[in-house]
Amino acid sequence: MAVYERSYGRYTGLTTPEWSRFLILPRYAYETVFKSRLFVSFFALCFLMPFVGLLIIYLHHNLSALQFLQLPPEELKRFLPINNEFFWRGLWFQGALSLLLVLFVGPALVSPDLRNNGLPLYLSRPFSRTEYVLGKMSVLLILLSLITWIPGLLLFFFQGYLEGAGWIGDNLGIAGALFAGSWTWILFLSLFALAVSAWVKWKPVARIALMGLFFVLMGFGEALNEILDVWWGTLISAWHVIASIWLSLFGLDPSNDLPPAGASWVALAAGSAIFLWLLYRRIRAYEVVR
Amino acid sequence: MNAPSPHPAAVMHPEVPDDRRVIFENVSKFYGEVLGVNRVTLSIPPGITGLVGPNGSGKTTLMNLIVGLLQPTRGALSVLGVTTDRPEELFRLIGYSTQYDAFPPGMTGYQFVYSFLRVHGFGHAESEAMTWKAIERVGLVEAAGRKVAGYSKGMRQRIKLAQAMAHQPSVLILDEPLNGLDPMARAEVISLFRELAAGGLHVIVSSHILHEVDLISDQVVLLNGGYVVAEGEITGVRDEMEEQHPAQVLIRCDRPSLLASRVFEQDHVVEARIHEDGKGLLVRTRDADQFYLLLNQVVLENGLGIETVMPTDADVHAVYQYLIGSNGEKS
Amino acid sequence: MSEIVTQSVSVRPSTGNLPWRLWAKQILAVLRLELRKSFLGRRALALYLLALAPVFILLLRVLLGGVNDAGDTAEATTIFSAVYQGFLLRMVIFLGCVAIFGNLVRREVLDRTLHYYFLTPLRREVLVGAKYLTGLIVATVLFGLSTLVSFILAYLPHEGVQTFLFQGPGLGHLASYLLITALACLGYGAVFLFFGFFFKSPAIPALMVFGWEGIHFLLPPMLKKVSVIHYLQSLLPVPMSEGPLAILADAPSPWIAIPGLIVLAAVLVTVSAMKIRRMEISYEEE
Repeated sequence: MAVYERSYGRYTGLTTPEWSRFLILPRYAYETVFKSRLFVSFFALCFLMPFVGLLIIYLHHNLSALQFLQLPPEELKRFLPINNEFFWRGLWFQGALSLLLVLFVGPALVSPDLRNNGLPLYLSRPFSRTEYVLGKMSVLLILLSLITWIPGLLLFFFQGYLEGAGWIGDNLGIAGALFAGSWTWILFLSLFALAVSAWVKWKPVARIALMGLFFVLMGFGEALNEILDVWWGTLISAWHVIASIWLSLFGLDPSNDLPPAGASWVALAAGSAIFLWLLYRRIRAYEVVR
Repeated sequence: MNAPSPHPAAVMHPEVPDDRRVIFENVSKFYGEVLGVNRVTLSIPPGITGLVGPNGSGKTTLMNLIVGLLQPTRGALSVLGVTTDRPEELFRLIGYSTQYDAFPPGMTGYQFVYSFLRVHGFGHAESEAMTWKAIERVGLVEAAGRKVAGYSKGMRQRIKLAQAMAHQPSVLILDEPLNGLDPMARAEVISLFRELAAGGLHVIVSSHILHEVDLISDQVVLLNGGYVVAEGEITGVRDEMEEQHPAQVLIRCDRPSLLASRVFEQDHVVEARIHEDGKGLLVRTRDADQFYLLLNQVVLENGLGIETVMPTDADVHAVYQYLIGSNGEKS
Repeated sequence: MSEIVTQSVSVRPSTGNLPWRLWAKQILAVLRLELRKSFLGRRALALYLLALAPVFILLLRVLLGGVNDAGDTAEATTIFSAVYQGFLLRMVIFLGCVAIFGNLVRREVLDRTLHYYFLTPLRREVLVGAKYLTGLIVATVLFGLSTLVSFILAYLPHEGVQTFLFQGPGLGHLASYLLITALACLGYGAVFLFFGFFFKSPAIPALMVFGWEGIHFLLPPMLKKVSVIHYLQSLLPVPMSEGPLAILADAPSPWIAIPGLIVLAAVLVTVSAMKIRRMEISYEEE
């Protein structure tokens, strides 16, 4: 067929910056995630404990409220002191909720793309595997941040504001522990969820696999420790490992049930490396069917 | 003894009794507020029936209703006298090849057909024999021992067909059965449909490929927007549309002008146009039968040399265009 | 159109007029199909690894010499009881049943293969029964073997095992553990089969049941009765303490626990069978 006039031309206009393109992925992911009423209710409930923490901090600094509730301030200070243990408990609780959040959201990230042959569509554009993983991960990073270090730091600064500037300076380590402890857990959970979601094509099955892997390894590790009278069994349990890391970050006494902090960091790093490798193997533009 | 009166919906072949038909009586199916099909009244006789319509017209919904995968919101249907509340009997009569390209994982072609015959309740020897018969019919004997996951699209289509007909049903319902088949395989499968229909089977086929529907179907059902727009043999449907859409006939002859002058005298002729090459005449008429009578007369009286007489819009494609239009909207 | 030459006649299998014989054939056919599809391939690898987990722990104990007193079978009894209650029953069997039964129908919908069953002259209720039976057989065999091998490995490094087994309560203990395993598969299997019909993602309600049974020791006696683990624990030959915070309650007698679990399973499977009767095939995207 003869072509007389070339009227078709490539797009030569402005394009968005390359570094921000991965943010396209979370845009639609949030839309899907927040469609579920169950998830929205659960997400709202995740702010309950930070709210309770806010009330406790407020009560510590409001004598008239304490008098109204007939609570002696010394008793409250003794029973519920606002110290590193207070923030550690808060992080512990929110960390457990983070796991549930990941169970809700994680399987929906990569599994549907695998199932519906969406990966070739993404990767045949100027969009790398790293950007794809970052984009999917950012969904979890943002949601988990909203329920962990962000409310944690807000409570820290609220306490500092009510207590006085000197308190913040004296307890900066708590803020650091909150930030580092949260991000460690967030990154590990996100990689875990993405890796499982990348290897199991079906969302409900991925959810069961996530749940199974987490709890079975936890039980397996505890049983190993009990039966063999060792400490290293719980290195395969993510919950024991992160609990040990949190205790060390907050400067609290280590527990005998938990592995040492150094070994925990190594175990966490090894686990993250395994998940990254699994993602590398699976996130491809093609699939071999045997 | 009086013959039983035909079903009110028995437009096609009224002489065929109800217990040899697939009957829809005012059937509607809604998915919430979305219409699947609405007030469908049909009576499908044996033979090959083509279901034709644009995407979303309700073809798959209709098929799923026949086989009981969906329940009608209103109305009733029966297959050869058996209603859908008697599934054990119904599924012996029906074989369905769906549009879904999905198979139980890890199975070979043979295992796929054989296993579901065993679920039907057939013994091992019977199932084996029926499996090989079905596989031979679709030409997959050599590939029968391979996993279905490794089949080409055309092979997967054929093994689905084999599985649908292995238990020798009386009604075969096929959703886009020619999808993915190469021309040779298409011809073989079409020949198989004809063979089955000649044996008295109901073969209900949905397809977008209009010229193939034209080629294989004895009757068609046209759907649009969940409604039955037309049903019957193509020539019959076309005849009924003559008033609104006059029939077009192309006559290639030696003296088209002469023919034109004669046909212009007729009231039923709407248009007569000489072909670009000057050797043919395109006539549009509201009464094709009258026109053909006139043509015979002109040929005898004037010794007209006729090369071809060809209706140009008496096929499914034309009927589809007139009734449904190129955008899927009713014209 | 060509003339109708002959009327085609559908072939029927030769089973006489007795539906139960047909159903038996169909159930066996479904069993064979399901075993080949879901439990004899790579898909089942995770399940086998799960069942091997307690075996692995006790094998390590044998190999690494984690035995304090080889002459005393009481240590083995305590160890096995702890492993069985704390790990095998609460985690391995529970999560294994979630994976097996929760996916029996849900997986077919995701694979878009459920309609193959619906298009056969197999009553849908019989299909549910057959699938449940398949899951039950697989779960009972897998976790029963895991229980048996774990039991043997627990006692293997100890002296006086034969005396304990054949002249002591050993065989009785083993029979109890195997019975509990079978009843756990029966009860949890029915619960997760039920969830598979009523929830798009059975993992969420399974997690809630897991949490509920996890805090079972803290629940008041009335609420304790609303859990499968309460009835299973009452059958344990060697009950373990649930800790200082546990709220004590009278254990139900075996005459209530065993029929109770069977009735629970029957009711849930029946409800699932009623649900599938009106089920429509609509393979929506998850």
